[in-house]
Amino acid sequence: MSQLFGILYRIRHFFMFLFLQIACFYLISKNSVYWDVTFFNTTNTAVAKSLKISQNVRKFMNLGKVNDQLAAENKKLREELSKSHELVALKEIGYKPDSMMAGRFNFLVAKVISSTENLTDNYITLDKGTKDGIKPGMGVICPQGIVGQVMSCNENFSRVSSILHSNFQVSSEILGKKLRKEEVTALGIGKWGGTNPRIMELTTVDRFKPVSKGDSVVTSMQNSIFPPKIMIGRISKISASPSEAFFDINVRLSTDFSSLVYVYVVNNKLIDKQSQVEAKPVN
Amino acid sequence: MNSQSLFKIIGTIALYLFLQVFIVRNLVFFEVAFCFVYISIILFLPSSTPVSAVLLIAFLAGLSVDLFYNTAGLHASASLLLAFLRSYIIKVLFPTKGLETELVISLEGMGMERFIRYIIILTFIHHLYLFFLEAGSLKYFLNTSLKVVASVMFTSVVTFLLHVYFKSLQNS
Repeated sequence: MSQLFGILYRIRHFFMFLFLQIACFYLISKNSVYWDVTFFNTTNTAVAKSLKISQNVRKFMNLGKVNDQLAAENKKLREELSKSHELVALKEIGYKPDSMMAGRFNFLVAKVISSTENLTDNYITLDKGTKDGIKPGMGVICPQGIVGQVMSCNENFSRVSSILHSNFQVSSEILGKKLRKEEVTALGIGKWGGTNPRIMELTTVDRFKPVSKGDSVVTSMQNSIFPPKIMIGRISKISASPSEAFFDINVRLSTDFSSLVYVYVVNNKLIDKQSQVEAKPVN
Repeated sequence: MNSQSLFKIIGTIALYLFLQVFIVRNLVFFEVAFCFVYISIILFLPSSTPVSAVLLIAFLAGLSVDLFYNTAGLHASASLLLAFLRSYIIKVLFPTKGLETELVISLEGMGMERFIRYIIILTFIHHLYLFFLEAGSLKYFLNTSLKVVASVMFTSVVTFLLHVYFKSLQNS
């Protein structure tokens, strides 16, 4: 008996190691559940405060870049304005845009206080929370393109799972000269490949559609969390094996995740009504 | 262990954690080379520290790094493994026949060659475990291996230089 205790005493460090290691794996498994983020993330207020300080320094150094971004966005807004004036002409063919539907998206400006881009699952922390009307599930975009989706928030901070996340998918549409000429739409599902933070994969695009390198990829009309025609990126590589019905497309993302400062959180006012209709079984 | 050396250890831990969280966290080369300089906390604890204390320090240090990296338990788990293997690796690398606690883990105490070997082996174990645990599978084996190799080089160099620098600050 005393020998047994002797052995147990000699490997006591191993038991301690095992116990702490189990605690670690409990935390790891708990953190990977999509909605259940409690204490150990950057929405934790004390951590978020100190990250905010370090981000403030970086914000100051990025001021020039931010100015460029704002200027570029203003330019884009002007273009959009002129386009929407032209859209009025569409009414003549019989489609009446509903003003409630057309104006269902509104935007909230938020500041990025921490972000990662090199892990398998990447997250971004924002400095706005439920107090400002952010709810889990909302989309997030930035002047250059889409960013991700809000996954959890508390009063003052929210955590966004970026498109560089192994579970993230976005319904996308390809815009190109040939497609417009032949009047076909090419829809696909965008998903991050997991290695390069600048490249996304686009799947389920029919290989008989006239898609070419350099075409832009935007969010499709069939999206409930993102407004349509938000830039995702440009096609950098197309390949198709003869035995398959779909293209393998690589998209170069337009969003630069390493220099995100301001983002827009998208609020779809009609999302509850839409999911209400979609949830009803068809008989 | 007197109170003075205890304060010194606590100061070192705080310093390395600060460096890791506020400065080195932003340094990533070519999207593959990361620097986890906080492992110096475990690497350079005096060899007379009891193993249970090393484990506890590693767990807490790893957990505080996790808070800032948004990866609950990941760094804690890796640094625990490092802390557990440390005493065995010291025994294998420097067979001193029961005088392990006399060994001084520093450049002067070990000599250049043995000291560098010690840093690289421990860093490699830590990074290998960390990156493959983070990837969660062998799906991106090549990419993860590249990250491991690049990061081991980066971290080892930074660890070595910081150690030498802090030692020279103390001596002057």
